[in-house]
Amino acid sequence: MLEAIGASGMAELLSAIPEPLRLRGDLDLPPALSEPELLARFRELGARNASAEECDCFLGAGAYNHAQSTSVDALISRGEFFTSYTPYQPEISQGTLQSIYEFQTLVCQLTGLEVSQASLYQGAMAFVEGMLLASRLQKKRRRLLAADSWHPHYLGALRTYLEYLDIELDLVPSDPATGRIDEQALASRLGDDVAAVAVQSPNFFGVVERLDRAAEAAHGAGALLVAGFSEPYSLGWLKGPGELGADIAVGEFQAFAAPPSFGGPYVGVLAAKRNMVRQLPGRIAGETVDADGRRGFVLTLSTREQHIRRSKATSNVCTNSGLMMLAATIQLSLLGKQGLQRASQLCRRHAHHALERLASIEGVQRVHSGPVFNEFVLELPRPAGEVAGALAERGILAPVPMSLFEEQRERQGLFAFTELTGPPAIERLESALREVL
Amino acid sequence: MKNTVTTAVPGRQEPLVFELSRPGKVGFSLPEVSGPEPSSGVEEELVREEMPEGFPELSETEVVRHFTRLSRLNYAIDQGMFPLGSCTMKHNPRINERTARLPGLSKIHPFQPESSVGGALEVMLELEQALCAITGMDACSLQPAAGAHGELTGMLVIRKRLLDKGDERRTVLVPDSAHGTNPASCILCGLEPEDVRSGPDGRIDFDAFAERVSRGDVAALMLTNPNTLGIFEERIAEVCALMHEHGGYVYGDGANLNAMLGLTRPGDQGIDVIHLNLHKTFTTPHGGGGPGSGPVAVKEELAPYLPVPRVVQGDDGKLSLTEDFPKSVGRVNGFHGNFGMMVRALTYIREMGAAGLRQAAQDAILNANYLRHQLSKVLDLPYQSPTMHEVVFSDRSLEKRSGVTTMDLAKRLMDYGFHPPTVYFPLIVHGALMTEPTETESRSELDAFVEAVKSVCHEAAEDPETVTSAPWNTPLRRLDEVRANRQLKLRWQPDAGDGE
Repeated sequence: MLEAIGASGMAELLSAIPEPLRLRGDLDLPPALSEPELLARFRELGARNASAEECDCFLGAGAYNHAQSTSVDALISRGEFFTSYTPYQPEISQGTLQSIYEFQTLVCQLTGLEVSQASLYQGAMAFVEGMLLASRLQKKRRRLLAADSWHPHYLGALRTYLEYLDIELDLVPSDPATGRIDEQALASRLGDDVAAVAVQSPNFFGVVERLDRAAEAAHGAGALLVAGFSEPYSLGWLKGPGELGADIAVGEFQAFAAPPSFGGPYVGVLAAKRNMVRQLPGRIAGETVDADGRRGFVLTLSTREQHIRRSKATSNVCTNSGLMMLAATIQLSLLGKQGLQRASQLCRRHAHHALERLASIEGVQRVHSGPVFNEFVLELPRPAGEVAGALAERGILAPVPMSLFEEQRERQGLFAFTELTGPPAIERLESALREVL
Repeated sequence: MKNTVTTAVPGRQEPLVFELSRPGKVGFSLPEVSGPEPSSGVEEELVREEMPEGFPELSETEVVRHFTRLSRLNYAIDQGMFPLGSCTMKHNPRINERTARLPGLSKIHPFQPESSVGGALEVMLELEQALCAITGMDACSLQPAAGAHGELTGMLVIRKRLLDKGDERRTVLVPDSAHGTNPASCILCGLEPEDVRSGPDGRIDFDAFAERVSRGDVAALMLTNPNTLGIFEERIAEVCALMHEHGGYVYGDGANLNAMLGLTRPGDQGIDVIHLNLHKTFTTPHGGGGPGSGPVAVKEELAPYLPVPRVVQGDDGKLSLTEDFPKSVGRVNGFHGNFGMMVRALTYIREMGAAGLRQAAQDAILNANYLRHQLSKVLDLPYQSPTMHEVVFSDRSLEKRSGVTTMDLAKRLMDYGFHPPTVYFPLIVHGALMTEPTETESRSELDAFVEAVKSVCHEAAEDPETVTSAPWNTPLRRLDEVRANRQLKLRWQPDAGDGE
């Protein structure tokens, strides 16, 4: 090939790199491994971790271990899906584009809102983008209110993003007894400088909020309601945020898409009212026709995005969560109406059965009286972090220690339940807890 | 032509999953629900009375067939060359998928006790160290979930460092050839991006840059090297030194790292912060648009500002995650980053080793030069500077001669079984065709691509309509994007007929 180009050697092609910048010798990396050696190495790394494969997993706090149809992985492993690219050339990307359109529809159906987009990196980023969206829509109002019962990491990410923007974030306290937002505290913080009120439901404590009342309060003060969720199976039981008055819904679809995966990749969702569509961040698929009049799908409203508008884009976002978005779409298609309903029933039953059993243990107390879906906080007689360590040794992953987020909640832990944690698993959890507490 | 609900064969529609739905069907079996409904105490007004109208109901077979048929409407790297400039569409090794799916590396929860995820933390540490070695940097954060996310993180780090020194300058110079995410990320940090132009050789106009910086108000420069024209910024060491002289920092957009692996390192060039695209250089799959992963690597001076949490190793050798970095910009991610992509990238790096990575970069450069040599016979080459891993052509003469544009050429290439190069980027080239073959392509695949391009150029001269009305052989003909923008239809509705 060098001959064909007329180059004297590779060195000639590399001559554009100035001599002083050329690397002497090899990169400081371990030696290359063959395929069998690679598998052995990574198996060894994996074997050092306790996983939900062999352990009972009762961990939540924004990432959940649900049953996923084996068909999902088989389908997303098709090379046509996972080695394809962003559908910038729609004529050879209809598989991707149509699945985005289906995903957008599912998000609208579940959230009860009118428009959605092709997904964001994860729930925390969807929350950030939702709040920035609300700010853009209410330009004259520079304050955002958020219940302090949002996932602390979502709030953390939001604070990072707001650092240099002319927007103030105020937290609204929760009622420590119920775990729900303190409505009077909310009312006293509302004003005509508030762009939006943000409430997560079920919230970080697992408690279901009165989104309808939050919507009323927000709208009464001219603010938008941004509602969020990190456990999307709750939408098989509860009304969509849009049906309860939310203007913008943001959340995490990891539970549909993938196992907990040590934090990612996940899939963020964002839905809104139709008149907000031109301010939405990220990619959007729309329906159109081809030269022969046949229905097809394309990325649309691209003038919102960074590759066109650059510094004036609605967001800096480029990629979506492609493959995870597809996985969620396939899982939801398989679950269907009945499956999603049944899954959410199982989650609820298991959680309430566990609540009964665990609260009967001496020294263990339910912390919040508010209604829950599949997750709740228990106060334990020992620091929850120690309990989690001791249970891990017994093949049980529980709970998420609240001390990871707030030092003073040292003895509190979050317990989550799904279709996979039925009565036998709960029995194992109960007896292990009785042993270690 | 009316839409019909049929099975998908080439040239015909695949219905939407909602259109295939029939009441009562389920595709996933779950355990039976038994016993009484628990009383959660929730208010009735909050509970769904019924599932959303039109929510799908299909059997497993129907879902598997639907998505299988949809997949066959896609073109993917598994099928052939994908010479998209700036995207580095190289082969996605299957072994990555195997290691990422090992239960011990996938069915682990981010909030498990640290003692139960030592292997996962080691994956992260090993990847951080490898990325630092490859880039010549001192510290790394794996948190950003995508390239643009990494850019934002990197600029936040720079901004915080400057403010820490009492430096409130906000101007950031960004080349006119830069990816749109660069200026967009600046805005989110309260920074003010300003264009710096490229010279006739395609590189940053050094004198214009030097003059601008000499005014003393520039806080940083964002640079891609090689740049988006595939040209190595030969004076990069001088550029960085000059920026440093004025107390500013240089951000490196690592999208084009594939040209540098094992040959040169951004850290040695003077770059202070670089983000990497694991989904480009490091073979994590593009997945139809994502997920990506955009780690950020920095020089020691900027390490304290990296996002938290970070993986640290205690004196006893034990790994843990800590937020104990008081100067950190904070969190940019709800969890630790896209771990699934970290496993894949590390698998690739361990598979290639130092020599393998260098070979990859050399082959990428060789392949791009081969395409340059062959295609500059039929397309305009606006910049004569040496080509690294990607080359940009222009349609100026083609359009003048025949009326055929880059868009038409791209659409017609699909009839020949190729995904076209990136079109209309960078903006500084008329009808840009940004072509990056990567090291994956063999000479025969490259030759087939060259023949296809030559064929299309020939058709442009002899029978332009074949090109301007392309594509002809793809599942759908050219799609009307204008109509999609004007008549917004962004979701399926149950009562809408679909004979638009």
